[in-house]
Amino acid sequence: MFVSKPIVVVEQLTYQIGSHASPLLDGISFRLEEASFTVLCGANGCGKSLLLRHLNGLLRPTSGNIYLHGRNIWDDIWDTRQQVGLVFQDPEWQLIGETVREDIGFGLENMGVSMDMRNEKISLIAQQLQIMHLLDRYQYQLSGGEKHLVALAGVLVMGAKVVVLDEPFNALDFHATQNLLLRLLELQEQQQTTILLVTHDLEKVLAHTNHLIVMSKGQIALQGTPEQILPQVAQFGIKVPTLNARKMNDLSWLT
Amino acid sequence: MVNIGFWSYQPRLSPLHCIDSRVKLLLLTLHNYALLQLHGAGLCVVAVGILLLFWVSHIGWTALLSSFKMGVYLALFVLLLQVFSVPRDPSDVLWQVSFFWLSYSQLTYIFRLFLLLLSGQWLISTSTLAQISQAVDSFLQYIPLLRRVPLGWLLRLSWGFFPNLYHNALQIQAAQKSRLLVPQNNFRRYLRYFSQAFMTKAIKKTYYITLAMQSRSFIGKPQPSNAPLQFCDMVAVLVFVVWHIAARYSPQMLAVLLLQKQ
Repeated sequence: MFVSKPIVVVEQLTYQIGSHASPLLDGISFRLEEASFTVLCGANGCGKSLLLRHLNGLLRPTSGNIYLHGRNIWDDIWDTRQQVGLVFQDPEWQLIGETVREDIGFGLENMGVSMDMRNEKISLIAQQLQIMHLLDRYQYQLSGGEKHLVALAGVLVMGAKVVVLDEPFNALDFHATQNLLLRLLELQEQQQTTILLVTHDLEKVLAHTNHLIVMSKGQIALQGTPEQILPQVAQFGIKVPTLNARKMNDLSWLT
Repeated sequence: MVNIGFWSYQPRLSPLHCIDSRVKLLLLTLHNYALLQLHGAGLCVVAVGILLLFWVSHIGWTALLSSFKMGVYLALFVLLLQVFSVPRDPSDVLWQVSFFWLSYSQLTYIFRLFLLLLSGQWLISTSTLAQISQAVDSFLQYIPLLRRVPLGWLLRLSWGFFPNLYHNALQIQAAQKSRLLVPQNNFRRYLRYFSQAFMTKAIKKTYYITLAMQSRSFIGKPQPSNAPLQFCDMVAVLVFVVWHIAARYSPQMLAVLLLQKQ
């Protein structure tokens, strides 16, 4: 359900390393509506991952602001990191715990949640993402798709209202992609979670996308609904799905 | 898939997994101290107790083998160290060991070493690293100088970091092998490329782990556990005391039994 109420607002965000270098992100402005499904795409090296790290407060912008629920994210970075969950491009770099259960509980431990409550929440989120059978496995025993789901569980268990995923379908097979996408859509529909994901493969997500953002050379080149901007995306090095915009729903992998 | 869960937590449903890690850590420290004082029959009582612990905790006997393997490496390492050191008691020296003769003192030395390893493995196999780190932090909060040092966390992360790096090292090795770079051809060249790739991975891994921890609200403070102890913890302490008293006085008891028989 698409409700027009902004949860994240990015205003004129600029990020620069050194005062003389050209900015890596330049005047980025967009908003994420509550319970929306936004896709961010663009050529390699255009600054997508860099932008995502700003949303979780891992990087501080040189200028500009990011607001979460109308409040600057840096006013309460503790709360921001709980509300905005970031799943890295390669979840292997992100998994910290020895076993899956320990990894999912890592954020809760940092929040000072008691052991009993932690176990309860871990079980709940594992049921929701259908990874109960993985809880006692070691992280190196997981497949690529499972690692993505575990990383996702690790941020959702902290109560994230916004989930930001950096190229989550990379190196996943058809079923793993379908499974991950299905879980994301369930979250969006049942928990009103806002989703922002980076992908090069629009075909996989276009049928469910409310908002599409195209980046180029550290700037936002295009943004709007897929129907509005799809005809222009090819010039930014993005593969355009073969079906026309009117038949977008036919692209869904989940039916 | 290569098993890199060496000396790691074994998730099982056993009464020993339920014991509070603070109690386990304290008992392990006392146990190790006691182990250094025991000889002969006492050590055998401890060994039987450790085997029982493994059996009750459902860890599996294959886990025991990994400790034996590590024990062999450790014994070799001690042997190497002793070549360069001056011993207090000449009969304790391992490098005097010949293939045909081991003194009683040397046998005790090796036996004790294995028991120490098995005890350590038992703690690690029945407690998650998070629990152990919390237990370490709980004890440190009573030491004013170390109260603010997140030692438990550092322990936990480094323990988790090394298996990961080992996994990366195996990947690099496989990638090099697939491109015909093997140590047999030119070892120096192999080592140069391996260390280059490995260092890059290690630095990248450190950077990403820091980011991942930050993104999940880690602020680097110690997190001691203040949960009250349960009934099973008290039982564990009681069993531990009985076990070690039995080990301490077993030589005397054995002597009395033998005398009675005679």
